[in-house]
Amino acid sequence: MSNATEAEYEVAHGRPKAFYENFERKDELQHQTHYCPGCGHGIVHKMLAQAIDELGIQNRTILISPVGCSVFAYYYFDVGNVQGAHGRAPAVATAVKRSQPQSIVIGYQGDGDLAAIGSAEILHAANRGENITIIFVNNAIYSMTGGQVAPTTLLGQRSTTTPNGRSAANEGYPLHVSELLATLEAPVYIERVGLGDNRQVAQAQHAVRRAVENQVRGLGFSLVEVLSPCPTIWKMSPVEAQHWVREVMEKTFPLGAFRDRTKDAPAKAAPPAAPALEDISRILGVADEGAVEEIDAEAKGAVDLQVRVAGFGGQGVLLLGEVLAEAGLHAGLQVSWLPSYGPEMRSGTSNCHVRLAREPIDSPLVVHPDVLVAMNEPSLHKFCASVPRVGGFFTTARQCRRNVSGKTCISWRARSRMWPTSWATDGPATW
Amino acid sequence: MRRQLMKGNEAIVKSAILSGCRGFYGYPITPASEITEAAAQYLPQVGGVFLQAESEVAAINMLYGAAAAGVRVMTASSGPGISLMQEGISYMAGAELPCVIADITRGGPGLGNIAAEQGDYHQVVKGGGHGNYRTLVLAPHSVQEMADLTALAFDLADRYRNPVVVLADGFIGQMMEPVEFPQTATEPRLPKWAVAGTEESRGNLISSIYLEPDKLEAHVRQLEAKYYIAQQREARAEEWRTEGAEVVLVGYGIVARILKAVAAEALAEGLKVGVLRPVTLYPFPTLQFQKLAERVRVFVVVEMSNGQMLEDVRLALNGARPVEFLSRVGGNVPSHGEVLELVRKLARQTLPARQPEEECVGHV
Repeated sequence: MSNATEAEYEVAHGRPKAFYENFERKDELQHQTHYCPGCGHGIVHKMLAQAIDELGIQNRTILISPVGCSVFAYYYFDVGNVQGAHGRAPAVATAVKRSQPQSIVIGYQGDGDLAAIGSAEILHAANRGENITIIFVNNAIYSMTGGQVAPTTLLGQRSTTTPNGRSAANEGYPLHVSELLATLEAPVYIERVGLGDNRQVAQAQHAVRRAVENQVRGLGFSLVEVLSPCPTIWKMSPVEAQHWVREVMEKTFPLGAFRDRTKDAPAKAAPPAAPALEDISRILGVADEGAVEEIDAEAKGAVDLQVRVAGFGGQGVLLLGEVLAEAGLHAGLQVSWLPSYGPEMRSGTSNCHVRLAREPIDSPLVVHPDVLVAMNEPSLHKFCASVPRVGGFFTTARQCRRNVSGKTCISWRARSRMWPTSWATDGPATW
Repeated sequence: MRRQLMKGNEAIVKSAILSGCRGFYGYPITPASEITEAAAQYLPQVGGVFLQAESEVAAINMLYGAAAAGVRVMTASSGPGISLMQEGISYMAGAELPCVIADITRGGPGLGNIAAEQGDYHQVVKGGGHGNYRTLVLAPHSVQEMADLTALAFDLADRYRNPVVVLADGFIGQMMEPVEFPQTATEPRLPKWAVAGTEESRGNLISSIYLEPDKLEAHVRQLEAKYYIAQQREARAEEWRTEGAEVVLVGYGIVARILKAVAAEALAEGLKVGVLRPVTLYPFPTLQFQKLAERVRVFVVVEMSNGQMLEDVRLALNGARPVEFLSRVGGNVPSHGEVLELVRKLARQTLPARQPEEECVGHV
């Protein structure tokens, strides 16, 4: 043996290139992982690294590390690495992938991370059919925090927070993530595999590779759930733990593919190309072209008109104010328009503040309007006291029309110092 | 350039896109929803990503992902939504990721109401998330500033690799005023630290975990050093007619607009009144306060909160001048009349100038 050269032996299972040669991000013992003997993470890491090697995607791959025992996955994978908040890997992965569509984004999560605190994020990422890959390592317990109950803990299984065993009455039933997600339309591939024996490990490796390959092919959301041993927290030997996966866990979590559209799913369309930078102002409608000439920019004279428009929602109250402001802008004035806003509901009332002035406008709030446009009676009653004695009302409320001369305008008197000279009148006028 | 009538909430989005923002992840909430809606309309047209997330928690973590991938990215929300985002804001500050968050504030606590309030000051300016971090906070008081300060926010976020919040109230978000934008759009370069799915960026890592106490301490000290530089360089405030002022009104956002109207009227009455408006809430413009304190008799803080910025004003003045306080909450706006009345009362008082006084805080 000692004289054997590389030429005489073919390396069948070497160290994947997607792993670092030396784990330099680790503070000590840089030749080994931080995982316990018999832990499933090491096996799943190797499967993933091999898949990355085989698919030739090391430069394109971005791994999203979770919170939990695999929080330090970035110690080992020689790929782009992003470590996210507890349970949020699918949200992080979503945006990484959409921001860099050419990248291969792999979220790696445990069962506390994915099935409890991150249940919303995984559900919606799957439902959107994000073109990402999720590796979900299910060991039925919170391991890193010392063995608390997880959504996937088996009925009767003891944990530090279920000292008498998980009971359906108190903690509910084990959550079947793969089955749950397989009720959604969008996912392309969902399979549960196990690490219970070598045959299962081989099947798991196949599934992990397929889940990554689906993304390379642009097919959409793929998830592999891996039933994985945790000898330390389970208080078993590595061999006992492996048996437990196969003989106990599997009864609650049956293996198999719950969704497989790998063969017939179409590749997702590439995002449309971005427009040229110089076109963006035009797209936003802020380019100079189409600018409206200010028709009265030369006009002089003091203007400070404060208007309040009020009425029922739907009467065009806000629009009327907007038209006024727009007109003022085109007349070369400073303008402001401020709506009172409320929830979208029936019988809501609505009003807005409009100011038109020659000088820069300090407060856009119109407390004492020169003109009140009241489109209904409640508005007239609510705001008429705010109009100074010399101010004007402009109302459509019937009662007021009855009360005052049957005209739409019940009182109109200008404050000539504030208004454009063309508007000023000496006494009450009617429209 | 073209002056256009536009809502503050729309101006934010257009300014963001012109500044190179190509990702928006958000969740609807009044009174910030127009931002999300405008982002939905425009971002796909410019080759960007818009996604309405399942929650504010997911949205801010999407910002984490997009920023990690090297894209200029933003979100918008209001009080309760910002509370939910605090997790991700802390992570982004810890991982030194830039992003812009628009907070169009509403009434609180709890569901409160949807009227404008300024009760988010503490959670935004003091950092509502866990750990030793700060966010940079800009406070626009007009639609033009919604545009200008959003552009500045993206630059500051990149320069300091830190989340920046544009803190505006419901009024500034909802109102329309003329606004002008810069002619040309910019396209920022991919940052060197980004994880972009390329050979060059393969060795990059985005993370906020430092397991060893010494390493975490060094990291926190480095963040502190960054914030110190920001304090030296980025603090901004607008002084409005403060020359010769004896009474200085202090407010931000819509309140500052009201204060300018009050000061104009008070000046017309012959009262010596000016306005100091913090434009950056963090870093707080402490120096401007201290300089003004040398010649001003009394400061009057007006807030649509129960006195959140008031604490920073007192810290900045450190007892050098008395500070009066006028507060409205619940969605009510301090009226022109009540501020003016307080100003008239203070102007009548003959307090000696240039001598330290015991701080007196009045509630109106």
